[in-house]
Amino acid sequence: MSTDSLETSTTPAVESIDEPLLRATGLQKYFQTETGLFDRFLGEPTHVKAVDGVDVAVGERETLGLVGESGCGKTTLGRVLSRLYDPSAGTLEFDGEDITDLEGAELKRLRKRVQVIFQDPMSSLNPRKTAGEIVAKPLEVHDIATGEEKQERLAELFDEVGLQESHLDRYPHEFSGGQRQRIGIARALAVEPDLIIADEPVSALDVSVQAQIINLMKRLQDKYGLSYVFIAHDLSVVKHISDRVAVMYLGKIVEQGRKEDIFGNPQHPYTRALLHSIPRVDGKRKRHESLLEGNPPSPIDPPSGCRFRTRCPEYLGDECADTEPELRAVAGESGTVAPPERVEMISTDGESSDEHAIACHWLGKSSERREEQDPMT
Amino acid sequence: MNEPLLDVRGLTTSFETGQGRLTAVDDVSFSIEEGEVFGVVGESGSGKSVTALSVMRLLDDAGTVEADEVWFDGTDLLSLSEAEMRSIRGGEISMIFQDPMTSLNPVMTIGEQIAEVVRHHGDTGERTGFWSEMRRKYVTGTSTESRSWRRAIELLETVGIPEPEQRATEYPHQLSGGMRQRVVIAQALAGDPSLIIADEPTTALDVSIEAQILNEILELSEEFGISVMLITHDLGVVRETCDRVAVMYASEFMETGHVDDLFEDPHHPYTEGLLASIPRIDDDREWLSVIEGTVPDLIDKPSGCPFQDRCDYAFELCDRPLVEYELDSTKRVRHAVRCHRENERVRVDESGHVTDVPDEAVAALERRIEAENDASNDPAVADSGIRTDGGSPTGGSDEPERRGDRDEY
Repeated sequence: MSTDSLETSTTPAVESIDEPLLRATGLQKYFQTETGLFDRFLGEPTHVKAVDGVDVAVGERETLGLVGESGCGKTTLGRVLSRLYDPSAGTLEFDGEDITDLEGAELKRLRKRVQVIFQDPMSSLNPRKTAGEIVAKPLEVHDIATGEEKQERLAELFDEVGLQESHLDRYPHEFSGGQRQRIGIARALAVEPDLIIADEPVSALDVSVQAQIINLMKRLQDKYGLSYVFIAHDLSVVKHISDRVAVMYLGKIVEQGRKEDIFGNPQHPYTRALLHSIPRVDGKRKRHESLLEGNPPSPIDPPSGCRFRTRCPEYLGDECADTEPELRAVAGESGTVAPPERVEMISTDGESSDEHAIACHWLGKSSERREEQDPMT
Repeated sequence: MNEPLLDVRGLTTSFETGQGRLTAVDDVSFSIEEGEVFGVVGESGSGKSVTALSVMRLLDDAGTVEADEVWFDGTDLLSLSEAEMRSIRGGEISMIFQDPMTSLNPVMTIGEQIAEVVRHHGDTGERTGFWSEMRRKYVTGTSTESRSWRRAIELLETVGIPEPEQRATEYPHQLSGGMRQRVVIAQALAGDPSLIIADEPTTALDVSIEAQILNEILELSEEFGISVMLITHDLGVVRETCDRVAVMYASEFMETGHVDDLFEDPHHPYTEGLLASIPRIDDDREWLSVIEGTVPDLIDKPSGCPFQDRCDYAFELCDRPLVEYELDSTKRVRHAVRCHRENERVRVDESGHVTDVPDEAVAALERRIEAENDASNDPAVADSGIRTDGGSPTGGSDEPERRGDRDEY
């Protein structure tokens, strides 16, 4: 790959949204590993590079799906995006305002606009408070409503998420998993936020309940014009709810684009292998086969060059180990391959939108050569 | 047709709770052929795991397990003593659980844990007495020269663990989730089983690792001709791995059949609803269809279909005891549904809704329920293995004497 091609292309996927609600640039979050006394005298502390240079943007009324295996940093990214964690480096902009270093009252103001829903409703709801008290808390904290008005608002919120008014006085343990997640949603909704960051909101739920919660989230989005960052490991769920999707691997985004691009015309070897490994109910394929061998490497000391190279089924050669590929637009580049047969159903005719970008050295290489090496054919 | 490897008839498991009697498994019948992968799919709390634990007699005194018959490879599991049962567990039948971190001993090396199973179930000529095991566990460790240790290394290699000699001396916490689950599989293989019961073996794992582990289980099943009973909530996993599948809801098997039949032509409204409610990678629906309502309370479960309150097709026969209807007997694999809509005298319109229930339908159903009651009351008939329509009616409260006749263990 020539160097000038690297320079001309900065992350186009992010640029293409004119005025995103939330934009992260070069976002990093490192955690220092616990070290003993001895190690402290001996040189550098080690860091877990949970999020290591991520550019994402979420538009208004849009859902960004964030997928990846466990340990890839998607939860950390979600927490940095909501400013629950402070970023180690990079900038965060929300609605045109720099929110990277907000503190105190200003941060509290941001909380009114950005809310979070967690995976396990049982551990994110206070077991000693009633559902009513839990949902009322944000109303009190942000001085939104008191007294009579608060009660009205509570009833309204409960109705909105499909709970009954009689549920107000019950404690979290008296609810089923799906109902608890509804309480979590009501609490997030209470402050009328613009953006909700949902971290695996349905993975702890049964399939039939999953569908109820997903439908509820979609309905609320339509009604209130919400934006979501939807973090999940289940690709089918992400595909269902997202407008755009970012695929993470070991702290970096390896592919992002519109949902149709990612699922209809996946280009990064990791995305392709991941899509290939989902168990499917359509009966198209008998017997499982995996293209992903082994486990993800440690984020403390990620592999040189491309982080995915150690497990890549389409490993290209020394280049992959030497230089780290940047996220570049797929459209108009060679080195892409035809969509694998089994995802062709969400057809994009193999065409990518402008937003579709991958971080892979195959881009700009010969497509024929890649097709030859394609493990899926 | 050959005798099935595992044949379970009329299995009922219940627990006494403060609020009343909870029926976790309600009159479940199934069989698993040799070399077959049989899936049990259902939502949490539907009784999948308890079914497996009941067959293995692993519930201790916690619950009451009753069954008409539990045959395994020509042995009646009901008649075995606890000691005999112990040699079957981990030997002829072994289990793989969901979370490898809780099924492996954290203070023993993985080689040690596998070697122990090999010694107890294999023919290694090594002593397995209490003191010998204690000495190995806490003093000397298993000799790397011993047959059991060598076999453990071999097994680790079989399940695809790189550098098995090195790995065998490591502890579970030093391995990744996928590796740990491989160790559990190696352990399950150590007793040379003919049936492996895998209870949500991949639920705790990532998709890419899930694929590896499912592959491993299937390859081993094919290579060694082991039957697998796969318990899962994931319909995709079932579709890709199983030969036959049973859909479980509120402690009952609602529909049983070949995976292709069941997924392409589901007959039970619950199966239909379940299949429609999952987001698929290849559909473009805006809204998912939802099964309204919640699972019924299993405490003092009423008779009749447990799904009737959530069912779009419910009609007047639904509160009668359920019986099993066999569909199209020309099919190679039996497809059975427990839903009165399948009663041949009940008229159903194109949308699947019942239009007319003639009196003969009710009469036929009553005759059948009576006949089945008689059959299960008469041990001679039950023993001769009448299982053409396996299921017998539910609703324990009105037939106390029938329950009393069952073998209890």
